[in-house]
Amino acid sequence: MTAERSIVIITSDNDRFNVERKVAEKSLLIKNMLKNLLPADGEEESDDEDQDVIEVPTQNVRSAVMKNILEWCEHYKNTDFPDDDQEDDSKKSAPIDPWDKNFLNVDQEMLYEIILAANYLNIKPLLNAGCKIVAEMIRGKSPEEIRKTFNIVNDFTPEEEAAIRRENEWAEDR
Amino acid sequence: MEDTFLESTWESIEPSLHIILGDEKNSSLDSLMYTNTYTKVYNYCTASSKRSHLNSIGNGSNNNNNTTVRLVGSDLYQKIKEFLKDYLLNAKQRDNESFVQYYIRSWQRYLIGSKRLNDVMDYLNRYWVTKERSSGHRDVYDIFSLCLLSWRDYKFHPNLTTLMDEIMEQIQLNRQGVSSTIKDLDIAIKSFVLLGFDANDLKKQNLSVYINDFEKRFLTDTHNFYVSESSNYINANGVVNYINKALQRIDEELKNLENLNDHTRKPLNDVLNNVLIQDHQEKIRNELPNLLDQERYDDIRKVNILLKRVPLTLPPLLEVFENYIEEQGNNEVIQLKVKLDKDFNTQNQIYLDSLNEKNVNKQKTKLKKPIELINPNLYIKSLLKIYNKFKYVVEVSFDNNEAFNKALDSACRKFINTNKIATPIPRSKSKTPEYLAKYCDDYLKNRSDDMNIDEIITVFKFLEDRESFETWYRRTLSKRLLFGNATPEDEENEEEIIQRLKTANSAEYTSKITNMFNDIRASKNLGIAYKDLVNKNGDSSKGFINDLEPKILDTASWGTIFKNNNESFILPAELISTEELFTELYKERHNGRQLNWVWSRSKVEIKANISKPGRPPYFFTVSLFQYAILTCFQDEDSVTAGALLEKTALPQEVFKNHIIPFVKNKLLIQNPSGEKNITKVGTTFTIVQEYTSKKLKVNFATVKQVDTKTEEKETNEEIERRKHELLKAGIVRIMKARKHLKHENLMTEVYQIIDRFKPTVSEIKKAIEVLLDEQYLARSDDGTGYDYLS
Repeated sequence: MTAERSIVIITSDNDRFNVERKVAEKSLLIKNMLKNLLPADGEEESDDEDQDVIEVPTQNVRSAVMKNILEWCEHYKNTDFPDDDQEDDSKKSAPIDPWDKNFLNVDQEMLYEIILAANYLNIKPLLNAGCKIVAEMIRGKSPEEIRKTFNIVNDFTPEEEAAIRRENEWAEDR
Repeated sequence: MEDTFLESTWESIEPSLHIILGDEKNSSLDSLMYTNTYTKVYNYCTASSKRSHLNSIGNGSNNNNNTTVRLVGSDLYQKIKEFLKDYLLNAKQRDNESFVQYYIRSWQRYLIGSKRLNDVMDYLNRYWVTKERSSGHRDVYDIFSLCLLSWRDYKFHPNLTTLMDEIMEQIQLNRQGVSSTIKDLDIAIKSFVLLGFDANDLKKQNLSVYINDFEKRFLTDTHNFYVSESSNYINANGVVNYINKALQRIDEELKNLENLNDHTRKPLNDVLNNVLIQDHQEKIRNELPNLLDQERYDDIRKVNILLKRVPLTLPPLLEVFENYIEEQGNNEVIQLKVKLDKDFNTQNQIYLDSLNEKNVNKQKTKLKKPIELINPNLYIKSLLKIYNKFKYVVEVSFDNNEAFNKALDSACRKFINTNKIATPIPRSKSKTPEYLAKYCDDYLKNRSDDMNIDEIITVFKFLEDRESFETWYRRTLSKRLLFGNATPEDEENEEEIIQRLKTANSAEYTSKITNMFNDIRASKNLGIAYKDLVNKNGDSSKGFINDLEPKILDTASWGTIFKNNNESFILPAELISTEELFTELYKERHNGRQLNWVWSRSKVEIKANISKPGRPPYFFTVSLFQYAILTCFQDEDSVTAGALLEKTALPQEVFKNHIIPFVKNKLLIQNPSGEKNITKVGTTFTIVQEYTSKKLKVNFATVKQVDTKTEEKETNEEIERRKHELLKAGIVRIMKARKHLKHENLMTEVYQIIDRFKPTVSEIKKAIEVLLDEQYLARSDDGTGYDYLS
């Protein structure tokens, strides 16, 4: 009976998304929450059986971003990502899935918001894909180019910059 | 710097934390509260991290590389830690519940709450805790573990004695059959398992708390409880009831293991086995003879079920069992002996009485003097009775277990070979092989329904001296083959026994027996061939005996048949042509073999025309020696003993034995009469003109047979000879392989190689002496061993 309850995700701007449980549970936050709130073995909690809908407020995600997130979740709803958080190095260096790459081909602002939301909602594969996209944008670029790409104002004093260069000497490409 | 952000965050989440862990009103957690708390923690951690990053940059070059990016969470973590402490210290037992009830109730709720708290604090776990632990801070735990640790420190340890006292009280009440008022005691016990930690790997189960704080006490209390219960029970209710009780207790305890961690299985088993079984094993074991006396096989089965849980209690039990069987076997034989003695005495008394009465009443009934003999059938049946009885016990009470079968066999081997009847004098040679051979003989001759081959083989397998059995068997077999008239069915039985003996031993063991059969068969064919030869020769064959039944027997197999074959004897002239013709035929068929005629075993059937006129002639069966004597009366009616001895060339003793039946049956009249005069040269024997007998067929040959005493003596001599030969052959075989051996080593090897009987030390020594004399061996120079001389 509890399994049939529908899930409504409420965004920060009060938009409501009706989603399948399977889709919503791509977010570990939501998955854990459902596990904790829906009594599995008839506990005394949540007696309000009349409430057929479970509302999941996601205070940190706005509607436009959630729309994208849910599209991703929908796409992967039948995929089982390995649960363990100790990812091996091969996975870290694996190329981005083409579908993800295409899906994340959005403007920078949206990309950041998706990454933040994935982190907040605890959707690890999406978070990883997002971070990889950003890494690609940095790879092979000079600090100046990076500043330009990300629209960063250089607010270091020359002394500070020298100090940082010294500290990171080991990472220089030679 | 006063962290106002932390304070405001904390203020907003603290009420929810109460609800998550469980408050007095048991308020329910809703999704808004849940995500709100999660979001607050998230916002705090992300925002604080940003600021702390800026701060660390701002602090300039004093900071080392590791702290340039620092995740924030430590302060929040501390707050949670404090919160848990307060929460747990403030939670109070209700007035109407015992501590253990309170413990179970609050633990169940706390466990759920801990999982939720852990999930709500997921963001803190995910980044700050993971980072701290991976940089070696083992005193930082994920929130769930932190909850358990707090429980351990503030709820569990301070109350451990009370908790354990109450848990153990419940367990003891349960053991005493008082139904427990406490539900879910196992939940309290299982909390011990969760409270163990491996600080290095939180996912790994660690039973240290369970083992140290629960299991030790549990095992000690269990031990003490059963020490006192078991000794009280066994004293008050006896061993049999105790066994039932112990089995029931073990059963209960093992069932209760479900409520404990499986780690306890082995130590608990050890405690139960020690206290309930090992400590009482002697009493239990000593009950076995009583139970066997009363044939309480189901109770014995329980003894076995109980004791086999502790394997080291089994060898002494097996010993008791074995000794009991041996004793029963010996008693059975003694009883039989007493009965046989009694029967003999009764018979003997009747005989003695009849002798006296005869003098008075001149009664005609002539009683034979009874002989003191062991009836082999009764004897073997007694042995079998004991074996079968305890074979059954092994099956129904001991699962037909290998070790118990071995004990049975070992006991049977002892009492079957050594008992009051088999060895009336201690250390004398066992007579069981002889009795078994006679039992076989009876079975093969009479085939009564209550005998069968399986029984024979059963007893045979226990014989230590199989050599004796073989010799005795051949002796009885020779009589069956020579004097019995075997039906095809008889032969089948004979064959089956031989086959079984062969399987139980070796083909070599039965080779002589088999040869005896082959001899008889070959003889039949030879007899037919001879008859054909005589018939073919037609008229010219007048001088030959047509109806010859030759038995060509191999000396090695037939043994004692050939004893005393050295009597001098002159074959009557009319038989010489027959002897020559047959010898010729045999030599033609079996070139190179030596044919010896055993005159003493030959029999002749004759037609005697000395009936009253008008009556049919008599048929006499006589030995060849008797025939030779009678032929002397062909021409004369009276012949002197001197003439008879001269014509037949028989030794006096043999002559005497063979003529006595004629005198007794009044065919020959002796003058002067009396046994002493028989062999006196001047004594005359006169043949009657008209013989009278009720029967038309008269058998004179049966009267003088070898008596049983002599037969036994002969057979035993044969056995000794045979054993001596086997020993000699064995020793030579060993020495040939070894060349040099110390005396003791040679003895050891002889015992290993000789499997058909158990040689005595003196028998072996005698064989060695003979081999030294015969120069197969020589004493070694140091005098402690022997050398082989090739």
